[in-house]
Amino acid sequence: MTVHTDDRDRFEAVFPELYRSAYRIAYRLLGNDSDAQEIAAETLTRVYVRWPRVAGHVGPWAATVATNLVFDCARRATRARDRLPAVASKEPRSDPDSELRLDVRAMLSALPTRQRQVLVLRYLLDMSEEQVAAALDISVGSVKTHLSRGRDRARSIMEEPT
Amino acid sequence: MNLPEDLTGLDPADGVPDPPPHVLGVVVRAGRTRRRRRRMLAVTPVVCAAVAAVAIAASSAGGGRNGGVSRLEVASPTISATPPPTQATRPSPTATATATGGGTGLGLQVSSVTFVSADEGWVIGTYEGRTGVERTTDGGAHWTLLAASPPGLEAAPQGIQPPLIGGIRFADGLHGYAFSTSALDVTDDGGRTWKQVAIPNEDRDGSGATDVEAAGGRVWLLNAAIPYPSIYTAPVGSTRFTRIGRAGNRLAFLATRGPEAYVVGTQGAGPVLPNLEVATTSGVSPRTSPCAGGPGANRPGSPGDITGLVTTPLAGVLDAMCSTGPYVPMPSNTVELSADDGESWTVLQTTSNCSAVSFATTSSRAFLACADGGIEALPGRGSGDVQLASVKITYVGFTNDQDGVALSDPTGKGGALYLTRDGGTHWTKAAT
Repeated sequence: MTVHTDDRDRFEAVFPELYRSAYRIAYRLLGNDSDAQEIAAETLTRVYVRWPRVAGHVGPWAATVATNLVFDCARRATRARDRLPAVASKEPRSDPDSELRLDVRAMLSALPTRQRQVLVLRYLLDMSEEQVAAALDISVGSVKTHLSRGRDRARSIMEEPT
Repeated sequence: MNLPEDLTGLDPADGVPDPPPHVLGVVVRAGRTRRRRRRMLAVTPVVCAAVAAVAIAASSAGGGRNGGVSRLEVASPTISATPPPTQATRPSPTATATATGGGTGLGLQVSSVTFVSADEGWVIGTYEGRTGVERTTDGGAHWTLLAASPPGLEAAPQGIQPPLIGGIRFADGLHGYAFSTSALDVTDDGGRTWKQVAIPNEDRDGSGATDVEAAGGRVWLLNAAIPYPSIYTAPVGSTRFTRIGRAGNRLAFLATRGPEAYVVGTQGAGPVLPNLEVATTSGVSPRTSPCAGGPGANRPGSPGDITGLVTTPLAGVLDAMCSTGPYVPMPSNTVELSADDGESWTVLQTTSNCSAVSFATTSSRAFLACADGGIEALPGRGSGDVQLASVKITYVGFTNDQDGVALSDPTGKGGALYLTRDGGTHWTKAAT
């Protein structure tokens, strides 16, 4: 499981695209360049560490890692905000899309792993259903099923009275 | 609400950027550190018997072979590749094999080494698809296999070792720690039996033990977390860790002296520049960082990252190695020294002949493990000052002025242990 020269070359070859993918996921969900950069770098570090295990499916794996890091990041931010006095607890609204980002995060975080994985690839990385199927090594039909169920589930979650 | 079909509107206005040029290097370096947990620092501790005065002659008359800023003449610091902590219960499967002909004959591929004196030390590594811990009581001439497959640190199938072994540290002849990002094992019988204990994770956001060191009756542990690692400590012999605080940089490692731990942050995700903090049981306080003259900084001649921090027996004295890393056209390093416990730093020596990945000092010289191979001694006096030139060394450390250890890259067929007993002039491969 060590990273040999060939593996290192392969890692370097995919590095730019993986970085951009992780950055895109993080930015779309958080809307913050600095956080997105950090999450992208952390994602790629984890890819490097586990390269021999994940090289065969590195794209989806990295996307999952980046998404989980976003959730962690958001959770911590929420906890930190909760500790602040009420007057300071409102999220800044400088980002006009912040509510949409929040909603997407909430939807994705409530989904089972596989559905979330499919939705992340489809909607956060703009992959076609065929590309998602190839990346996850499943049929296009399965992708459609996961997308449909994921959307339904996300919708029902969002519509639940709080 | 429905999930919008098109989320491109959430992208940055200027589009998704390419990775900055330095990020690949940062990622690879951080990844290597996590995988191998190589010792990137040397610490003092238990063994540093001789305490002497430190005399720094900042002679500007060309100390190093590269026309360095000044010359290194440190009179007595010591170093050792030592480390940490705790106790053991559930006995791990053990095996005994007495060293013959200098070694166990197992051909252990060493991942980490620790010495508590010039004579007594331990290594952890893999052999025949298993993880093994060996001990020496004669300075590395003979090794004995004490334990096989410490719980949670077992070698992967096919004997591949990677993220499993972070390091091994002993606080004294009995209390030792073996760790990885996924397991923390402790022993209280010198390494014969090991017990897996929980990695302290008070905030529940840690991703594993990334560094452990022990000195002054305490063990210190970093649990990597996002955004910053948490710092924990416990008395040697106890597994009741107390959370001290968070490190100021996401990529950090430890060096210890007495009851204190120095938390060294390297560049990478998080702060742009490296930083240095001191942790005690009372909390964490910042120090002036060495290596502050990285690209764009205003202190020329002090490039890059903190590759290593060495504490000396003399209170207040620290040595730091700053390195640009290999991902620049002309790698360079500086040795910096602080005589006031990190309040201020003086550049002692500059070299551009190697990209340093590990750093150690004796009372008179500094040693760099070069990424391209070899151990370079400073102040340099010519090509003869590079030893093991064909070996990719990832760790170098000294337990005193004469006795030192070096590890070769544990990947592939590496993981060899080298010893010197003449202050770094000659190195011999140990039979582990």
